[in-house]
Parts: sequence; structure tokens; C-alpha cells
Amino acid sequence: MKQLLNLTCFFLKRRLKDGFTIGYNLIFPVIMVLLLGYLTNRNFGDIVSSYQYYAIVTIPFCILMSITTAAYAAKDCAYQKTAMRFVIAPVSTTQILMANVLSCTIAFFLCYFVLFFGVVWIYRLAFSMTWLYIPLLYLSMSFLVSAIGTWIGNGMKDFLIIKNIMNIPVGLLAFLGGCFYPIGSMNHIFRFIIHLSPLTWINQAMFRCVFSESETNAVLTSMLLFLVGFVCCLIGRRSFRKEEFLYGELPGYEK
Amino acid sequence: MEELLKVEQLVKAYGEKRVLDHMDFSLFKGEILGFLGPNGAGKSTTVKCMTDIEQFDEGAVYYHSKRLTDAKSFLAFKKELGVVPQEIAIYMDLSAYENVSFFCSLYGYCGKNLKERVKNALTYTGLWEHRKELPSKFSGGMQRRLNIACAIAHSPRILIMDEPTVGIDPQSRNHILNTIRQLNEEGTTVIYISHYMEEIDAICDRVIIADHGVLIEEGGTKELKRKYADQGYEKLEDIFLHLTGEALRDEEGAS
Repeated sequence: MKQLLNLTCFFLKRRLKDGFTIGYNLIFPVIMVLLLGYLTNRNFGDIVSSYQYYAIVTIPFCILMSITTAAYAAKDCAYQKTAMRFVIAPVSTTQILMANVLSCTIAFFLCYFVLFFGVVWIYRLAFSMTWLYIPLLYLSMSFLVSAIGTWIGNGMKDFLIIKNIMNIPVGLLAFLGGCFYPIGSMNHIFRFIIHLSPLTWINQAMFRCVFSESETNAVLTSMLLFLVGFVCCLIGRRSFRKEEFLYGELPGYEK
Repeated sequence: MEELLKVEQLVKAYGEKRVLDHMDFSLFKGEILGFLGPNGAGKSTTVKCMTDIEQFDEGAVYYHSKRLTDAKSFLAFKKELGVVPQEIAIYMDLSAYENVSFFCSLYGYCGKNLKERVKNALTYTGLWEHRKELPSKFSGGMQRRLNIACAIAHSPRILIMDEPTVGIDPQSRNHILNTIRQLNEEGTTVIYISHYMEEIDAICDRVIIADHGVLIEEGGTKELKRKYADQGYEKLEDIFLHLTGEALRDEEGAS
């Protein structure tokens, strides 16, 4: 337990100092909200403004995109050529993996927690107690994407392949989840297929928390996300290969 | 002499290619064992199998006559093991002190005890004055010494050094060799892997020579010189070339 805590704190410090984490999880969402909000300003009514809509749907999308950041974090030791020291130290594989998952979870959660309250303050969303369930959603999503990212990161040597492959399903899920445009409002076919994306369920839970003061969806979705994240941790542990953990090259990252 | 570690009939193959073919040797308490072999001889693979980085196909490793069979027994063994990898395995964006401190903490040390150990390791390697500096600003020799400091801070009983003096100036090399002698005098048993015969001759009590994954010779340095003197081979390098051949090796190491 002490070793896990030690490793988690170390990895967390690295994540919080990492420009990759800050850039993708703090700066990028802000730009997305401002840009999409501005471009679609006239398409939204009085109840929900375009800025409010994108402030809510952009954060889950960016958390999902953090799979790439978590995969990168899993490869950090290999790129720094220090992975060997972790493998020869009296630290178990499970501890290494869980430290990576937990450190990424905390780092992502902190970024999006700050971002959400920044958005609330800027766009003057009316506060209600059900909002307190939104951080729970962020935490469960962060845990899930960290688990998936760690699993994928430790299963592949080449980070660029991971990055390129992951962008496709994440983009598709985000499109279906209404992260770029509320496609569910277009026709009944779209209204059906959007439910194939987990982002739809998450976004709906968020909207219910913010505008309908209903937390049931948020709690159920969070529990489900935690459960799937835990399963991904188990799969990641089973499929862990020391060779993949030890070696990896990232162009432009040489010491 | 007390047998500390025994490598018994290790076999390891990558596909069709056998890189270790019944590798068999012992390490005795308090000695410095030189491990020689041309590229592709199986030196690094032997170390990886001994330290549980790679799994071997056949054979066994014993520590204090107890067979290391599972992750748990290897974890206990790793607490008493220090490895200086061939590649420099340190974080370039952390100070020398932070590097040694973190890697030592993986062995369960904390607080005052940890600070003392870090200080000792950095003093041993002549880096205490540079403890606050980033390794990226260090010379090659200083980085090598920091690589060693990270491996000795937890006072291992067995220290495996894989070509620790590659590409450094004679002053740094001399300092490293003196450090190894001093560590050995204080009770650390050392396995020293190198291509530099004069280093092996200067610090090792006993030598094992491997080629094509097989142990082909072993004995005390003086004993070997006496044995081969009749055949006109007086230096360790001559004996090595006689045993392994003078033909150029294009074979890549397994690492």
C-alpha cells in the first residue's frame, strides 16, 4: 500500500507538471467551448445558450480524449528509459499499473473540476445542489479513461499508432454524443443512434443535473463507469507485458 | 565460500533461436564476478532472466539455496538486488538528489533513513556537490555515476553492473572502479559485465565467459592465466579471443 501511494504521488507530480496533460485537458477544452459556442451562437434558443451547451458537452468529450494522455503516461517510463528501474525494484506489476491509473484519474479530475467551475462562473449557470454529482461523473469518467489508456499504452510500443487509432472511435462517439452539434434534434433516426454512444448518456446525465435538478442518471452512470473502469484495470493487468512496458520510442522525445 | 546465487541450466529462446542454452553458474558471497562474452553471447538475457524481467523456458534461479519460483519470491530477492543497467536510466528533468531519492524509496525507505542513504550514495559516486543539478546538464561520466548511485542507495547485497563504464573518460572510469572495490570491501557481491578486459582484470576475483548462450569457461583470473599460459595466452584478452574466436560478430545482442 505504501509503495502504491509512493508511486501514485510520483506519477501524479509528473502528470501535473506535464505540458501534454495541461494542454489537452485544460487549454484545449477552453478553446473548444469558446470556438464552438461562438460559431453556433445563433442556432441556440434562450433556455440553453450555445456556450452553456458546449461547456457541458465538451468536458466529457475531452475526458474521453484523455485516453491518449493516459496511454502516453503509461509509456512515460519507457520514453524516459527508466522503466527498467521499476521492473527491477520490489514493486509489483499491479502497483505500477494502478499507480498510473490513479495518478491519471486524479490529474484529469483536477483539470476538469477546475474547468467546470470556471465555466459555471463565466457563463453564470444557476447553481443547484444536484451539481455536486457532476464531479462524481468526472471522477468516474477519468477513472475509466485512465484504465483504458493504461491498458492500451502498456500493450503497444508506438505511441503515435495509439494516438492515431484512438482518435477515430473517440471522434465518432463524440459526434454521436452531440459534442459537436446536438444531432439528436435533427430527426428520429439520429434520435435513436445517438444512444449507442456512452457520451450521450453522460451528457444527458449532466444536463439533468444542471437544468432539471435530477441526479439519478448521474449516479447510475457514474457507478457503471466505475465498474467498467475496474474491469478494464483487470484486463490491463492480465494483458501486461514487461517488454512493452520497458521499451518504446517517441520521435522527438529522445533524451 | 557461501553460494549466494545460482543460475541453473537456464534456457531461453526467441522463436527458433536459442539465446541461452543451459547457462549455468554460481555467484559466491563477497566476490566480484566478471561476466564476459562477445555481442549476442547471452549476457544481458541472463541478467534479465535472473531478475525476472524476462521469463526463461527451462532451468532455475536460486538465492540462498531457495528456488525463485513466483513473483512473490522474486520480489523478496529484488529487495536485496541492485542493477546498474547498460542504458542510463534516470529522469533527466529531476535533480540528481530527486532521482536517487525516488528510486531508493521504491525499496521501502523513507524519512531520515532515506535522506541518509541518498547522501551516502551521492557521496560515494562523487555527486553530492551536484545534487541539486539536473542530469541533463551532467557530462556522460557524471550521468553514469548517477546511474550507479540510483542502484546502490538501498545498499543491495548483490549488485549487477552491465557495462557501467561505456563511453566515459579515464577519470570517471577510475572513480567508478574504485567505488566498486569499496562497495565490495563493505560486503556487496558484484556481477560485473564488461567488454573492457583490463577492467575485469583489475577488479574481478573470478570470471565466467559465455558464447552463443553457453558458458564456455570459468575460474579465477589468475587461475585462468596460469591455465592458458602454456598455450601462449597470458593476458585475459588473449584467452577471451582464443575461446570465442577472432572473427567479427555482426550479431546483435538480445537487448
